[in-house]
Amino acid sequence: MALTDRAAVRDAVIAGLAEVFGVSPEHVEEEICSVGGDNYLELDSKTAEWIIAHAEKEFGSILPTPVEMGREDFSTIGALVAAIAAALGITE
Amino acid sequence: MATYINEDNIGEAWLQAYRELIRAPGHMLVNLAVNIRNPLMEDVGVRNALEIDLARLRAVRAGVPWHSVHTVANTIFPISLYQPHLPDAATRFFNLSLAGNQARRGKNKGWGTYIGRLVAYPGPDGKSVNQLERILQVLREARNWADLYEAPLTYPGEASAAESASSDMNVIGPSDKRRRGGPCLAHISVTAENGKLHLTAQYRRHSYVARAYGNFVGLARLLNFLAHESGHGVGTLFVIGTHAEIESVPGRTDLLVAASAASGTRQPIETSSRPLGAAWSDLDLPTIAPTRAQ
Repeated sequence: MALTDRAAVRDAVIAGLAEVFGVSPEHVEEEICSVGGDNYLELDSKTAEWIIAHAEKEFGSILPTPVEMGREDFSTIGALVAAIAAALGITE
Repeated sequence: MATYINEDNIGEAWLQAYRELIRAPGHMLVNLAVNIRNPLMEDVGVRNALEIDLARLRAVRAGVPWHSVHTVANTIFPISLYQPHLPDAATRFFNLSLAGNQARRGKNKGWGTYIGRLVAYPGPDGKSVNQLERILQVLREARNWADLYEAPLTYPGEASAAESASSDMNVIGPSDKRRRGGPCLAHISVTAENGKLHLTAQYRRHSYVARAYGNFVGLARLLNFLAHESGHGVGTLFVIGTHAEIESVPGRTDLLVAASAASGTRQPIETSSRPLGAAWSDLDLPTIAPTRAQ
């Protein structure tokens, strides 16, 4: 799949998180709103590991794992989107 | 030579085992056997004292991977991937664990992770075996079998996952040359008796500052998972460290004093994922004042 932009990364992260919790992406968006935004919805390392695996399939690229990242790079949805985007070379 | 600990919960068991290790020559015991009667309970005072010490050690021993109890427990049973309220919760857990494990490319790639070995142990034909799924199938189909549930996580002399796919444990046993490093958890055995599941784990080397408490929590979560998904009650957790030790770190006795003083607050452990949107950062190592890091 051709990578387009940071929004595509965020969509993949939301879709991965929705799959872990067995809910719809819309439900994840509602939770993000309720906690105050992407930078306030916290992730566990194993959830992040799964989301990264999901994103690797989506974009066809090898991404750093939580073990290789710092905690601050996967502690929230916002942080993980930024880390994956950076790993994919998205600078916007 | 053996030392036997029999305590009510994870925190009390860890504390008593740690006390025995402090007394032992070289802070090492051969065959330290720990029985935990209520493994779904812990002492959060003891755990907090340990977490503070792990944070201190991270500050004074840079480069050594001092992890939180939660992180260590996650290597055996990643709770954030277990949603018991959803249909096919066990299958969902296996699929999520497998996908995460296959994507993992850290320095443990040689032998993988404990949960990886439990859900995808390399088989002799090149295919992996989901040991947890196999155990659950037998538990669900034949509840009168007491002792059919064994899960090896390593064998002596093993160097890599690929090697374990083509070797015979009985033949290569005498070639054991592994020194320190994973995997330290060698075997898990589950016993069904009177409607309850009991879990026994054997460690070839068990480090009581960095690993033991988190290992107890992870094993207790695994036991809960197997019991819940097969319709059994949760029995006891029995952990044998054939070579148990307190690592060579500063402040070993101070930790015993602090954990003893903090003990007394009994609380259930978490056994499944927190809800979507819940905080996780409280399970990280605490931030400690710079003066404690000196």
